[in-house]
Amino acid sequence: MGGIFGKSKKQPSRVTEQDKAVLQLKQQRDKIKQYQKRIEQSLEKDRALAIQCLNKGQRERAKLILRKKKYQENLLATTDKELETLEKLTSDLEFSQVQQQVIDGLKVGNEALKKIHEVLTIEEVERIMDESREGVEKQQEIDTLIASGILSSEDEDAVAAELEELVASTLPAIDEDIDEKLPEIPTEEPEIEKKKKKEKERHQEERVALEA
Amino acid sequence: MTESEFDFPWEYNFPPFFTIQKHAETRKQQFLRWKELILAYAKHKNQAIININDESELFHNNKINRTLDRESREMILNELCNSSNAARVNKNTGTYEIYWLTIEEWSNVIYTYALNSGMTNSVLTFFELLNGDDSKDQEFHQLNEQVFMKALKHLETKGKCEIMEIDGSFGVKFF
Repeated sequence: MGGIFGKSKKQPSRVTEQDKAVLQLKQQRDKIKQYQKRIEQSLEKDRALAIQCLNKGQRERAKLILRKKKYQENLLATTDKELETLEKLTSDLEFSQVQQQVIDGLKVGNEALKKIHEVLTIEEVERIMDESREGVEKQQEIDTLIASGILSSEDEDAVAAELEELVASTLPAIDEDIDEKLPEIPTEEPEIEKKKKKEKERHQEERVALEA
Repeated sequence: MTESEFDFPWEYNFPPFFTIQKHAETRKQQFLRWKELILAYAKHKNQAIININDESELFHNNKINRTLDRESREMILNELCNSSNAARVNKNTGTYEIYWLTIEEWSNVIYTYALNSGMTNSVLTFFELLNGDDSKDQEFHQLNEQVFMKALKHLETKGKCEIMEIDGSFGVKFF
């Protein structure tokens, strides 16, 4: 509503028909609660009044008041039952609203999943895989082209020569005749070791003698 | 209901407190104290409406026989309006709404309560929020309905709730 001159409403109302029903139920509940409060108060007053009448010796009047009190107590019990029904209905309504939200959520999730699957067909995946393989091959081709394109074979020779030169200048010259400069490898055991061995042998002999 | 007596601050028994001070610095302090006093008094009595024409004990101390005159009352109430702690309801009758919490603060308190008690997305009546057993220990319990309404309207502009009305009684749905 509102037509051309109406304010453009910022948002559609988020209040649903169910919300309105819940509100009505809850308002009804509030009314019953207020009613109960009132009855409870009048019950207390009646009790006090009945006691007063008894003290004054007005038995009949006291009885009348008690009768009224009894009637109101019955009313209270009835409203309690009504309240229970109302509250049960309200929570049922609220619970089904929650359930509806769950179902809505599931629906959205399902839709999204379907859409994703639409995009991801087997042919599509095959096509993508093919394309990427082609891409890799092409890249390799490019690599070899670039590598061979920049340096000619002469350049490669020059690079090799430079490498030789560098090796020669940085590493100490490894002599071919290095064997001649090294001392001879001894063929006998060193003197000290020999002595020790001999002593050990002697020791063992002595011990054997003792044991015998 | 048994209502405990309001504990007036010492200034209340200090005669010069009832006369607007000339010295600017002193007056500033005096206004500040008066503002505090009015807010504390309104909160204690849960009294959302103050009429500056009423001979309330708030502006009149019988014990020391001092009264804050009408003009001064208006000045102080205007100060309260400036700090969002009050709003003029009717100029002719001299009534003001008093917000010991500002509307913004009230709306936060209410919304926090709704969030913490898991009441978002469900419908509640004003009656159960203001007078229900569940909100008994809440600050906004038995708050003036006009003030409560303003706080909720504030929330509504932020999209945090929507006020509903059926047969002249109100409900609210928090989001």
